Amino acid sequence: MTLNDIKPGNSCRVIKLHDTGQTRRRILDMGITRGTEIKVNKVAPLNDPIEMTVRGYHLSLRRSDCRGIEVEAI
Amino acid sequence: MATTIALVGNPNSGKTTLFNQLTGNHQYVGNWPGVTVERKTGLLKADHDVEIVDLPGIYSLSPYSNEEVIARNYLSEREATVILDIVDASNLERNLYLTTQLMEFGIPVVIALNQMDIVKKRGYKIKSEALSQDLGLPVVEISALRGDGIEDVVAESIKASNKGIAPTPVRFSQELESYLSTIEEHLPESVPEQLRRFETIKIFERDKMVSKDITSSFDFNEVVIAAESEFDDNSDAIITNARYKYITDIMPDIQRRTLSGLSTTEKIDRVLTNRILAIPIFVVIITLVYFISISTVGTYFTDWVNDGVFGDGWFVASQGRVAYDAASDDYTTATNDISAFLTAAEDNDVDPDDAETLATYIGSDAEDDADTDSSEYTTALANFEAAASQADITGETHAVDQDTGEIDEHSVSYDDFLAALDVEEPDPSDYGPWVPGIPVLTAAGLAAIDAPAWLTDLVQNGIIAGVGAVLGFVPQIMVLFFLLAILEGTGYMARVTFILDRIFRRFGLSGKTFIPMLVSTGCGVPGVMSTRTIESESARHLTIMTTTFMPCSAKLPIIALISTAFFGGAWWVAPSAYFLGIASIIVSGIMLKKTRPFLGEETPYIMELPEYRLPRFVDLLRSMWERAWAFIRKAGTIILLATILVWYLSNYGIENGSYTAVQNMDSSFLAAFGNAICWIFAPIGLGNWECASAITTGLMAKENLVGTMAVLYSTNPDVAWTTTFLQSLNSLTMGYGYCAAFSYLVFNLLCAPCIAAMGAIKREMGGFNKWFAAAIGYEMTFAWCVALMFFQFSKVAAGGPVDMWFILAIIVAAVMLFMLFRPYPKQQQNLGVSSASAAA
Repeated sequence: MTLNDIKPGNSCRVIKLHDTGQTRRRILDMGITRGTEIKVNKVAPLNDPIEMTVRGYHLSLRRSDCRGIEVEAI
Repeated sequence: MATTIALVGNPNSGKTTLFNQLTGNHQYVGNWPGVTVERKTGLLKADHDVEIVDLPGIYSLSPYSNEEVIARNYLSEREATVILDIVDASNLERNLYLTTQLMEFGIPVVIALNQMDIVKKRGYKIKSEALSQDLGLPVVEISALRGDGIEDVVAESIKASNKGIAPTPVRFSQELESYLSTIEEHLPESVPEQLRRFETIKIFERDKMVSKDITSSFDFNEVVIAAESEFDDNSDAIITNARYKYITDIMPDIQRRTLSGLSTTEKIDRVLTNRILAIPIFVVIITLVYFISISTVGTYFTDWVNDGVFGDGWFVASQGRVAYDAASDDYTTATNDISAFLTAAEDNDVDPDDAETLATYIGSDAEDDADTDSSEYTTALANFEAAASQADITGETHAVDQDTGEIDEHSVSYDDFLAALDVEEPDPSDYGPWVPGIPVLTAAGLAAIDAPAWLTDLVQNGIIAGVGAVLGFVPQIMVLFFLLAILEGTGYMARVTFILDRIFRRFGLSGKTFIPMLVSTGCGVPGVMSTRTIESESARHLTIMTTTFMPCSAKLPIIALISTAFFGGAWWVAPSAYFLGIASIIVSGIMLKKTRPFLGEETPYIMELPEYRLPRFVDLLRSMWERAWAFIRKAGTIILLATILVWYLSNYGIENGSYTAVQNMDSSFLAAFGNAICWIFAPIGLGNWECASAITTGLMAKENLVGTMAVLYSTNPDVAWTTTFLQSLNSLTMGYGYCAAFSYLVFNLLCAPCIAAMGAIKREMGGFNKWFAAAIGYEMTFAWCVALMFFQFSKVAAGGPVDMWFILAIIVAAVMLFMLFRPYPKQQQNLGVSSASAAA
């Protein structure tokens, strides 16, 4: 399961990042590391990007980048 | 020892506000060498020996974005004697992540804990003493907004700087530390004690910016690979995990979460980023910004600068202006009527001698003022009236309004003529308190010192007209940037990207590209400058290169002129200009995104949606002023020089074999220049020097185009100059003048913008570099190619000959289609990324 599959209102925990390069490093820097809890809040009017709460702040990511983040639902 | 404080912190941590609080008016804004990121330095308000350097807002010190590289390089140069780290208390974990990195530079660190009020409001508690104890750093609670704790944080920083004790970097898990210590042991002796931890971690992360001095026979990579297999992760992820792990471990000491309902931000976002309401609300907000800055308030002040300060003068009260403008328009119409009637009389042989005499008096005091006694005038008038009242003649006016490009055509009967004679030139001082404009004042000054005619002309028509036209944009720019500062300061701008990212990223553009595009329909200068808010470098470059394709307000007279003079005021001409602008931006975006400079640079969209907050009024003013001032400074330097050059070229030349100030523009250097380059415009149907010269003066200011052409084509007094223009286009193109006229419109809409906008492009691209050249070169080439296609295809469609230029137009069309529809070339990752991801 990836972050892209989580429906708004649900939460998940990060298992692993599969992206490479700049994107992965940025995502890491923003605090999405192994074991981090993420709550998906909403999707943008055109269904992409996604808005979520990570470590107490609001972050938005594109669906294509969310597909590289392996998660488990909680 | 002098103190240099480096201000470091996350975006939205309140850094700018703190910087403004600390420095007051003692700050200097510039660009970091080679890049467009702003560099701000200032002196402490209270103590001018303390220098403060405002580093760009960053989340991390990884070497991937411009901002981060700049911050890292600056800190490695060790010019700063202390790092003042602004930590947003309402977002502690992510802010402390940067802090753990800052602690590794061997420079003392002081933490300013900002936004404690938000924390309290949300029902959290943060123990700053515990934070200080855990990290071993001084922590000062501040409110940058209210100015609380500012003195304390300065005092702590100076104290830390004087002591000069480097912080102890945070330690990670035992397993990780054992790998790190193996690397550290094998670092060369030359690496100073304070930087050993920093270099160790950079080697472990395979950072490409690791110090080049580090040469060792030891194979560091072996250690890293061993660690990666033990932790089952990439080395940089291991470090990031370790840092966040450290922070989450100390969090319970520091922060106690007692309550967390819906925050204010979440409540606001329920509406502003609502799936259904978000886009309509965005449209309303942007329309408001546009109307306030470009259409109403901004234009009001810009007109005031153009017509008042750099014009005849201005009224203290606005009612006077309205009444005067109306009277002034009436007077212009009356003058046109009189001359049309006199021309008709001459043509019909009705007292032609007196008509000719009267024509020389039009607009003079004798004609306006009955008291002015001029026997020649009164006699001629009496004779003429006697003759004209008997004859049945009507005049036909043909006047082009140079502000709007509109053509006024109507008949003038004898009664109209008499009525027009009674209209007097309005005196502005009759319409309320009146302040003369700069040209009026300088004219008086120059006359008082008996300045030579050429100097008066240079100052009046060269410098004041040129620089004045550019400075006229300042009010619009200020209003616009004030509003944009509100959108940025409140946090709405981040939501704009969230809402529009989906649409714009297809064209290699950012969601924020919409704002420059819209603003450019008013004026390209603030349009280009508002690209500042786009964080992706490649999207910003792309936006700067294409945003001036939108027809700005100065291009409206050209559109109106072409539409009324050639297409009978057809309704479709003006909308097609806007459509052409939008289509050009999209087509360029798709084409350029597939070319090398824009490839592999797809900047990830990873955007924080910050807490909404009310920005400080002074910060808004400062943000507005910094940008406006950059523009004003440019008007005083490069634009001044360019203005003088064009004035010189169009006023001097070789007449009768000698160098002189020319009477007719056709013997000026500008005409010679036009002749030299007009072959370029032949394939698009505009191959004469008049068109080439008008395009050149259009680069000065687009509103010059109509004026220049009016002067150049007014060669035959009996016909309207627009007719002469069409005749000349017809003779150039073997009868396809209409096609050429549309090509003229297309080329002028799309080609490089006016000098003021080019100056803005230069500044936003970071100087006269390859990006600036690429932008101007691309705009010129694109305009030429599109005009070529329009001209050649419409010419052949209308039954014109197929020639080599038509073949070229087909080739151009084919190349463009290929570039539009070819698949994306294989993504070449840029070197920095690929080396870092080699481990992945």
